[in-house]
Amino acid sequence: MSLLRVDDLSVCYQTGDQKVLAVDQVSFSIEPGEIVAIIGESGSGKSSLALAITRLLPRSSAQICARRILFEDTDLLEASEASLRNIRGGRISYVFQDPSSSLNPVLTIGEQLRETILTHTRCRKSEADPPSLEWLRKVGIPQEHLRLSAYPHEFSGGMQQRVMIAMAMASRPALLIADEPTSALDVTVQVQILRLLREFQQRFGLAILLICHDLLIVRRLAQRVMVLYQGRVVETGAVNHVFEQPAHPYTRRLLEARAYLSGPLK
Amino acid sequence: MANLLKNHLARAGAFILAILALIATLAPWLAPYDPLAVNLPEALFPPSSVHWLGTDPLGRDVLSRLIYGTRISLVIGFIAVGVAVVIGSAIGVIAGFFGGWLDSLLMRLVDTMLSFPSIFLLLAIIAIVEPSIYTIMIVIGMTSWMGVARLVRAEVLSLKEREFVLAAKGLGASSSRIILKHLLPNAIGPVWVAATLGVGSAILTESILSYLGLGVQPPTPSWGNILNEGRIALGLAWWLTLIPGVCILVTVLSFNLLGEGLREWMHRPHN
Amino acid sequence: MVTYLIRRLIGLIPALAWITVISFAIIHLAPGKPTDAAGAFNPKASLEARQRLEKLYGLDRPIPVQYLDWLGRTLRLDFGRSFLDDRPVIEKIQERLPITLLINSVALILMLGLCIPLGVFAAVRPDSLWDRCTTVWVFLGYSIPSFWLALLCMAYFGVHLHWLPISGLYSLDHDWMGPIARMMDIAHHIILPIGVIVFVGLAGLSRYVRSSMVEVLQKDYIRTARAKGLSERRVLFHHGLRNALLSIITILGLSLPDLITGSVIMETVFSIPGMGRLFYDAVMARDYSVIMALVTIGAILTLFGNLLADIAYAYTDPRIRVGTALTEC
Repeated sequence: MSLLRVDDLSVCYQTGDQKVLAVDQVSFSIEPGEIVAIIGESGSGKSSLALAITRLLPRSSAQICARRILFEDTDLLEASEASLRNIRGGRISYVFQDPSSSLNPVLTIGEQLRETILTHTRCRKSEADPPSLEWLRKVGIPQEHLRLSAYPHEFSGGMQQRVMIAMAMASRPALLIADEPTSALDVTVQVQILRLLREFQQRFGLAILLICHDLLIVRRLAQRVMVLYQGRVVETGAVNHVFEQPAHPYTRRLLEARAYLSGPLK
Repeated sequence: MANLLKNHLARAGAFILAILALIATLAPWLAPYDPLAVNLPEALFPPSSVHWLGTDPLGRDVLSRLIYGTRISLVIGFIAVGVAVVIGSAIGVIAGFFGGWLDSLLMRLVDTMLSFPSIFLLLAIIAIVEPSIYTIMIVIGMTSWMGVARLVRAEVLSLKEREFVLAAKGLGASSSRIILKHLLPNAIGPVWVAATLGVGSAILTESILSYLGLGVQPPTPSWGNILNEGRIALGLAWWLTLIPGVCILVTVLSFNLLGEGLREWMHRPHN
Repeated sequence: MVTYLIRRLIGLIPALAWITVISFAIIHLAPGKPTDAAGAFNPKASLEARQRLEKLYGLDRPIPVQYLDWLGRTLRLDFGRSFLDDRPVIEKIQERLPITLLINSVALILMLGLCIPLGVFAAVRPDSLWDRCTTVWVFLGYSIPSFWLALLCMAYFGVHLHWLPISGLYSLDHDWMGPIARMMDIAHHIILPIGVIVFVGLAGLSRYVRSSMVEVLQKDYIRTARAKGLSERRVLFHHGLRNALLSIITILGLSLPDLITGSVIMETVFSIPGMGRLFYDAVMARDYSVIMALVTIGAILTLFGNLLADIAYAYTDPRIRVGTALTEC
């Protein structure tokens, strides 16, 4: 059985008198332990899709409709707010694009990390420190015992993203949704973060929904890929297959652009 | 302009202000009595068919005094803001255009003026110069130009780097020509909002000063000093307290609604 | 943090210099000598008092000398003597200060305590009935003459209903009361002024809380907090409000001049013997030494209020408080 199964998911934004269809009847599934990538240009609805899965979009402006969003045994469309909260950050975690704005600037790393652990595990307040430290160590933050009382601004971008990953992993989720996790980072740091995600996927059997616009990353990391264009899935399949025999013109254009940049300049 | 008037509240504000302006202009024809005519036997008459809004402790007709008071309030409001806009624009343009030490000196002055509780400055000056309609217009203007100066400076700073100004500079235009021809006319946009809101607060300030006996001097009627005269008969003659206050409230509210409407209109993307 | 403090203190110097220049300039605004005006407006100012004032300001000497001399005395808190009763100005201020501080701090605490729930509630449900009500209230709060509102309250609660005293700080029999009854008596007298100050001030403040809360709620870290599965209450108050409070601290510092202005008006309307009333009486009597002292002190207080707000801000915001960045990865 699939870990996550999304059928005909649409997301629609209402701003004033205008309605914008950001995601248009998207269907896909993710198996346990699998890395699935979504690629597409900015504005293609990737992030809306990622947030819509656990219904994190603001209810006042975004409308979500789908036949079902089945995760493990729960239909997230019909789930109560309380069970959704248990799943968010518990069974499905998120890592967002810009770690510097995704961490709360006025709370310490420790407070933010402990908070996840306290919310999703049966753990007393006094017992939350050891697992916090352990996760900081696992994501490769040196001198972790000094870091709990530090604030996000004292960390570099790469370290901040490691903290975000630690926060996401601390509840041992089944699915990690990573929304452009490396595009705000330096190239050398990008590689480290991706390695970390790969490591956790293999070590904990974690499934990852990787949202990305970098084809190289997708090719190295993902098993399957979906190409999103103007809110629709225009192509889907195994990574090698899609990259070698792109069927849709948009996918071909994407690949050509990449080839032009990586090949010799004409 | 059409969009501005779509905003119901702003439209209501504009409508009320138009009526007030009309009342102020036609005061001599609208007022049923001489606003200064003392008639002690008729003191503190409640509203009736003879005196629609009653009479004050000196037997003067309150409606007539309110109508003339409209004139005073609006004139003081507009002229005070005029003074503030002139001072503020001048300082803002100079600070923004010349920059450097002159800019920081002037901006410190702005900060400092803002750190004076406004009423302290106002009253301290009024304690020295004799209060009259003219002095309080100028004094209110002199103590409320800081917002305009900041706005104009910010505009000038961004305009200064734009092509048409650089082009004028390149063609060897003099500083004063650039300021008067190119910078001021373009920097004045956001000042309209501040000025509209400013008229409201100037009227409010005038009413406070007059109420405290340090603004428009009796017997000249102003909403503030009608309230001042009503304080003697507080609880005895409700019309002396209630009605002038409502006039001030409605007028200031109208300016604020119109100003907010203007602000929204100016922040529209197509503008 | 320490370097930040020092930097901020140094930053105050030009503003302080301007304050003294402006204060000093006011006294020289008058046509002729300010002491002439004192005589013309205030028959109580005897020839002797006028001569003393002239000497105090050293009006016969060149302006820069006068300024420096005046500055020196101001720095020593020597503001001369009131020529109404010949007492040192600083003594008169010290006597009145506690009352004004009491009223303003109670009002401020009430406003702070109320503006947060009011503003947050409006921010969480924009365009709700409550949100619209606060919008109307804000426009009213900005447009209503506070002294008029005070008069209406006096007329209604005082004269009409006889619930509350309408002026002064003490009842006639105050001196014969026990200590608790005295406190109750004063409390009774300051309910109306505080109520009016809070009503008017709260409108703007709660709107400010609303807008900074609305802004904060759109931040990425709020999305992160929701994605972590936190309860909405925790998202709002733990993650949202903490950040929104930062800008509220600043606005509190900036609203200090308005509080002082409010004191002058309220104390005058309600005849409360505080600093504001002292100032008004001094203006009416053209008691220049008192006027100048209060203007200067008021501005300096405001400046230090802003500094205090900045320090509180810096203390609350770890990005300023913890000024070290560890950049290794």
